[in-house]
Amino acid sequence: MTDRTTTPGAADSENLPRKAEGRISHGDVRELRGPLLVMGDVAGVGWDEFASVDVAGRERHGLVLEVDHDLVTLQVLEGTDGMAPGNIRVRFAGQPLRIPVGPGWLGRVCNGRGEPLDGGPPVTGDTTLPVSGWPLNPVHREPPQEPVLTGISVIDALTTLVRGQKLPIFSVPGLPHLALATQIAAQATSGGTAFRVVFAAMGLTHADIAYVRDRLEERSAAGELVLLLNAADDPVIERILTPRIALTVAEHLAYTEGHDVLVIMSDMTSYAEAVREVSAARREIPARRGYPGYLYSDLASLYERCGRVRGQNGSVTIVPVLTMPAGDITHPVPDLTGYITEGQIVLSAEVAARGIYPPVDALSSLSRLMRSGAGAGRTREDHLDVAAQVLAALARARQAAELAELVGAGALSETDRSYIAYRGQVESGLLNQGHDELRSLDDTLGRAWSALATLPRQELTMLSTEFLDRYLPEGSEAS
Amino acid sequence: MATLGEPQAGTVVRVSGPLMEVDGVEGVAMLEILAVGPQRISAETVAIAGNRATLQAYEYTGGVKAGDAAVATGNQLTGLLGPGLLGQVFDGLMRPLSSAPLWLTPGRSTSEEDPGILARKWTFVPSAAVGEQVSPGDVLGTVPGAGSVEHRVLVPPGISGELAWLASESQVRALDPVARIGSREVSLAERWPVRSARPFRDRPAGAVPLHTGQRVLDLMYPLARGAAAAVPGGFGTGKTMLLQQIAKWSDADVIVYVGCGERGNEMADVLDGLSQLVDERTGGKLIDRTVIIANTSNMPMMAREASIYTGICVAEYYRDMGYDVVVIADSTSRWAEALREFANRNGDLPAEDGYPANLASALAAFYERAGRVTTLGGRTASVTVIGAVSPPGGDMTEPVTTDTQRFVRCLWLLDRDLAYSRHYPAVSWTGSFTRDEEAVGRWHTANGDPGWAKRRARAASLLAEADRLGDLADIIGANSLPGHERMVLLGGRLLRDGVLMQNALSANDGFCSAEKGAALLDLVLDVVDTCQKLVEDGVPATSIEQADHGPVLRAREETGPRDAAAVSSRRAEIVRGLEALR
Amino acid sequence: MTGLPTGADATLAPVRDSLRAAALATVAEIGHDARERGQALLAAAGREADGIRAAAAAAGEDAARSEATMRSARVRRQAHETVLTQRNALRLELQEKVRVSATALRTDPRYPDLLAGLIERAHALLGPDATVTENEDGGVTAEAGSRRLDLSLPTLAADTLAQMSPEVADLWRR
Repeated sequence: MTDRTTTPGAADSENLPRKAEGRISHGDVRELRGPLLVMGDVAGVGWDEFASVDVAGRERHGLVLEVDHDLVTLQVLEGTDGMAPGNIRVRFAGQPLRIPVGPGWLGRVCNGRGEPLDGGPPVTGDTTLPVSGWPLNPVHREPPQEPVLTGISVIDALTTLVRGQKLPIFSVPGLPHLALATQIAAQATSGGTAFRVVFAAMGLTHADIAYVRDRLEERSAAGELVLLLNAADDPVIERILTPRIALTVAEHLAYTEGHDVLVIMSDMTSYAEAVREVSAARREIPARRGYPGYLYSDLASLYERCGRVRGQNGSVTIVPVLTMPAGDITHPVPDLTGYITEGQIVLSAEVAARGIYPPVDALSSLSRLMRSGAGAGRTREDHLDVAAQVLAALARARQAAELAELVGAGALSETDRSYIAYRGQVESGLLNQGHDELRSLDDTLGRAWSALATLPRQELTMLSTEFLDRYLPEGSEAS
Repeated sequence: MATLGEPQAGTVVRVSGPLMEVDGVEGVAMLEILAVGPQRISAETVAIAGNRATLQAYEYTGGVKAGDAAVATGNQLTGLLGPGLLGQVFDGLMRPLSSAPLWLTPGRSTSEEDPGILARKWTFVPSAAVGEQVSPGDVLGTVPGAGSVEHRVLVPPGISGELAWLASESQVRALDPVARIGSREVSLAERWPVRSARPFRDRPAGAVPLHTGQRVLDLMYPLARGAAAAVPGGFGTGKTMLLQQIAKWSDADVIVYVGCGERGNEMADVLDGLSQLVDERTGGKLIDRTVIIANTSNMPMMAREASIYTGICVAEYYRDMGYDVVVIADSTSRWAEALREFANRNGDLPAEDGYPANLASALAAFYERAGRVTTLGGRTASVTVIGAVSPPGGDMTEPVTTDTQRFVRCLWLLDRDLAYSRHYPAVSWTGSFTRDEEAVGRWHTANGDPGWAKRRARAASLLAEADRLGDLADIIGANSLPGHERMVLLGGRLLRDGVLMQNALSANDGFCSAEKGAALLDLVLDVVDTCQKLVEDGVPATSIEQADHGPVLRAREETGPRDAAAVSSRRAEIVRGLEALR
Repeated sequence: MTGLPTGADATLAPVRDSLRAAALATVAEIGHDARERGQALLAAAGREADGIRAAAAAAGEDAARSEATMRSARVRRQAHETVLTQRNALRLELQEKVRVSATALRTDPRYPDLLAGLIERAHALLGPDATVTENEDGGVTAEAGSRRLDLSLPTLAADTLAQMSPEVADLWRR
């Protein structure tokens, strides 16, 4: 039924005139509960079908969650506020939600349902696609291996992002995760080419949204940015749709138009809360902290839409941003995200308190795909070993620092003291940088070597003699 | 093929995600597959009440309506077992993905086999003799060129008698007959319901270790062939990396890698990696001994539930040919979640964390399909099961982790602190266990390494002692400890960094032979002994600590993967260097 | 949907054809001019943005440059938004014209046939017992129990236009 070459689920039937059945509206309201609307006396409606809900002359939208004989349960994206059994007319679309796709999205600013906020007409395209997407056959996936250079040292050096990867930013409220995400969006290149950026905002404050728009102004003006904005005071349930629209647009730009697309989704915690709200209204049995048991699969249905396809240009790279409630990394949202994504970039209040931007906790952060995206032939021959050594030494430095707090720096061995000096050098020389400072990879790795040079040479056991001779700065402590 | 009755059509009355209820299907049996709706998506019968059946759909049910038809197929979920499995990738329902389109849309029904698979011709080479009495498990012939092991065509379970006819050497397709036993025809490939265990004769006593090539496992927590191991670990602890290393390097004949609710990029990576690596034993590629079952996290959830059984079923098929098979399931937690998701939608009473009450028995039934057996044909063979567990929030007290621990012989617990300090594989030496250490020790004694058990015991006590002293040193500072204790701390570090750590990316270190592993451990233990003697003789602990231990720590990287001799040859020079501190 | 006479939608074909023709005529009439105006606006904004940047480059200060980058982007954004607004106005204009021409179908000699077809269609969809009423703007609405059917001409016109979007969207597409 589908185009088997490029576009997910591009069916022949989609552009046919809507059948007159679509003009039938239903008014037999059986129940309103939370975001849910139960309609009776309905026949021929399929699961996951899209519906428009007329509430006293204003249009809302719904998705079918359950079909039971002639009863249909819908979740209303705009919420059920103000709805009453007498003022509701529901029309079913006859199929799951599809959106138009194509370059018409570039340069546009829309709300969380994809409706224009920029004064323009609705986005159109020659093709429509179902927003839920289809699973990409893993056999057709190309393992991601081309590095993305963000110009941000801590990421490029220690948690290299790879084209087609999903790498989230874990943060806590108050830290500059949006600054980091927008800096990545503004600076990232792969093989010298910039990305098309699709930014899905879910539950962000208007101040945050204004910040994102200003920072990415140039990308937007150049027609390289799609903004989908669901603000904190916008309908909650709509957030369930926002990332799906973003990813559907991104997949088409990537696999049909051949672009490298970066999708930033923030804040996934707000998204998950919307999922939880629907689940609670359905009285489903929760798994952990009230979140439904299917949250893993639900999140996976978003994050897994990243990737590269064999024999085709284009890629989808996903950077979800989420704030960990109470900074708890074991909270279901970061936990399940971490199980699905290929690593994580963790921001820490403690690092931020030492005045470092971006405040990345390098030891808790990880890019699983770095091993295939960095090193000889990808970035630089010494990259992986340098990263491993920098991190191992940081782990040791952390121990030394903890010990120093207990027994005093004076009681430390000379080696331990050199580790503490090393940590200072890593933080000020390598990790800390400006909000719009773009560093080359050679600059970044040079800074890493300078920091390592503060350690005695025999401590650098993860680096080969060859690399030490070639890259370790002359006249350092270590030589 | 299990025929369960005449096909019947019922009517869908309820759809809620993967759960569907169908009216009017008298005669449908539990586990029977129905084809639902215009796209004929596959769904399995999981409950029957009167003439109403509850189904779990193996595809996305978007668009399925109340009133759609549901047609009984008369079959259970079966796998087509024959040549052509090795080197290929299948989904959870054993449909080939290698020939499937880029986007996996519903409507690829289980009832239609891949025409490519059915059309492909294989050379059948007969080896039995017409007129013989044959029984299940006897070899009828072989199929060359079907992967890196000899593909044996066996008399299927349940069929015995006189071999009335046997095909001569010829080109045959999967479903073509190759033999007639009594009045029963046997085809090249057979169908088997994946949820049913394939029969075997018995389980012989004794343990033979599976060599994984990963030192921390082989030296400290060895796994016997036919046993089950679980690998619990929070995210980022390197679970998948460890499993991939085992898939690459363990000395099994066949690997079945089940990607159950995990990442698509990872499956691509496994496929890519195994396709490039050479199998030292055969000269072919490692992929040729591997079957991949991929049901990634965004593929339909209920097919994920089935994928575990599909994997085991394939493994048992090769076991019956006489091979040692390893099934790697990543991750059993995602499988358990699929069970939970469906039970909840079905309104079942939940037990702990929302999981159904039969979680423990379902896990037990899965792990119990592991075993070292005498097959029906009299060969000794095994299915070893290694299951990853992904505890939510790293909580080792959650139901899947705790239940799993009861049913496995080995637990390789991955520790987040080790992983964060980039100690890989991050197998914890405080939480891991093996129940087969004595049996494996006896095997090593009988096979040329009588020192195995003693070496393991010394390493374990050194680790424990170093941990204890490390905690103490964190409070009072290492410099305040007496010299011999500081040597224990040093020894612990050398053991951890020089032996237990292993660089999966390194050509020298990614795989480690049993002999090289033993040599590395002996080297560290000798160095520790030397250091202790030096301290006793009055050499200051600080100068020993600050000596260059690089030659010990780099030995694993700087010597070939099987080069035990090169490791041992370092010993004299290293000890001489230490003695020079006097 | 099952159980309906196949090709039932054919009764609506004449309506759709008329509406489609009206829409395309409107596009031809107002489209060209609109596109030209939009392009001129964007070109002017592009020149202004380039000018701002060039001035900043001449000034040479980092701060000036980054401020100028921001300003030039904003100029482009404003121009872009103006064009978008203009396009949307066109779209609404088109919608209105199509609605008016749909209503005008009431005086078309084919209207009685069309109406009969719509009534037949309404009964096919809602059942023989449905109450069918002629709409004041043309076409019919029908009701059966809790279900209602809107086959009024303005609604059908809006639908037709929505389905035509790939053809007419060039009006408001980049």
